[in-house]
Amino acid sequence: MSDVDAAVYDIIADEARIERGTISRAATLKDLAIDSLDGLQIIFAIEKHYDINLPDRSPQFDSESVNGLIVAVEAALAARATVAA
Amino acid sequence: MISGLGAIAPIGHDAATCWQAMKEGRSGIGPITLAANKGVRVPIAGEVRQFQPQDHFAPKQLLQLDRVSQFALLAAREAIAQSQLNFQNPRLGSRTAVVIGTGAGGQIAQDEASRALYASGDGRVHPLTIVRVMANAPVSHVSMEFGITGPSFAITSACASANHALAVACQIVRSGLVDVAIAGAAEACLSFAMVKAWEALRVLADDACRPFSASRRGLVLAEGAGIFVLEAREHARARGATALAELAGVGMSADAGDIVAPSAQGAAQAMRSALRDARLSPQDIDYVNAHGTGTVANDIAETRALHDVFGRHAPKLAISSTKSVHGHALGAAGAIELIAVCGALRDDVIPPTINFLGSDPQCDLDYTPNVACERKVTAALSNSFAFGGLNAVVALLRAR
Repeated sequence: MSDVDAAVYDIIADEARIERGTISRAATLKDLAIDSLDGLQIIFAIEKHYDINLPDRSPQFDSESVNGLIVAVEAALAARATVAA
Repeated sequence: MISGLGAIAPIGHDAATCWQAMKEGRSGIGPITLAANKGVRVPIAGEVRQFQPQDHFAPKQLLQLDRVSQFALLAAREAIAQSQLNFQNPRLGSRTAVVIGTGAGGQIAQDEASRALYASGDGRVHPLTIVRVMANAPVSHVSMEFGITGPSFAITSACASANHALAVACQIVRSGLVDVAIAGAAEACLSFAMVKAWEALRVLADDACRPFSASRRGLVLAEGAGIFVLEAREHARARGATALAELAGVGMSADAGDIVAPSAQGAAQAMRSALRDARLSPQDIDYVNAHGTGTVANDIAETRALHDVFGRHAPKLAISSTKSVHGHALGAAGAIELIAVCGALRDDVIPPTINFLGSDPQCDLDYTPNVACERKVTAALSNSFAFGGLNAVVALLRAR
């Protein structure tokens, strides 16, 4: 599991107060019984952890799934690395 | 009954200009300028533009007035002037209430104080900060300017503050406690901090306010005020006052559900309550000025509630959300929207819901898309459904 996967899983488990073992990359937040307010908390915690901004309702950003969150983080980190380089 | 009205909004600095813009579908939403710091991501808001406080208030008075109080005073001046009530008469003053709603009170002053304390390292805030920030400041200033000495206080319930203020004022007048109430709401909370807080909730649209439309992306923040002179019928008749409309009924409910997500049941209950209070049947209603924020959630829940309350009459209703032209003025929303209802009752015109791109299958009623519609309007409802599940609906009749 990559660092990003691990960090995102940790954040989801903490913010939604669910068992880390139940989280899989294929799961949606709905599958994990995470409501939309907790979903907002998760996005907030991810943004703070990485000091990034995740987009607001972009077609590329699936904020409702574990995979979507991980992909968005990787994209934001890659964009920052490009700028810094 | 309503014997005077006044408003200031992104679409105009007086009620007539606002109503004209609503009828024409002329939007007052534009690029955001008030939240001046970098780092505001939302590009648009409904700001009251070209407003010069020094044109309306003496410098000494301005020291006490946050923007929210400035708006309330302007709208109150217009409404009271129209009513031709003369508050030089102290008996009238004591038999008049002032009930003004606000969601956030003096937020601009709050923001300036926070900036001075936390950001500038100054360690000092302006001594008048408290009286600028307090949510009752608009009420106090209206009472002071006109010499109104009857029961006076602020009302707050987020996006339903205006309708709640009108409801409470209506009931105080009905009870005989007062003959007149200066009632409505004001909001001016587009500070950097408040806009960032709204952004964090991820409900703001970045393109336009499109209530009930396919592809709608959320609400657009706005500011403004609407103030109305509510008068006991006998009092108005005795002095030969002109009625602009009749506030026939009010309905209030709480969802007791989610802190943000609206409930169709709570909304339906408030609408039914308003109809009952006004002694109206669903089929009596011609026009519904919807809460219609343009969020996916509200517009679906509100549509379901309308079906639930109106049944077979629902498709025959003319519905519109004027938030599409003036944005969501939060605590002041219901007050600005009452201008639309009064206009519709007087002119038999339904103001459009602009920015409508196409139908959403879950919003299947007639929302008067993009273009105004001529229609006889005798009775109307105005809906406000707030965060925290607090709902307030007012029912109006054409003046008789």
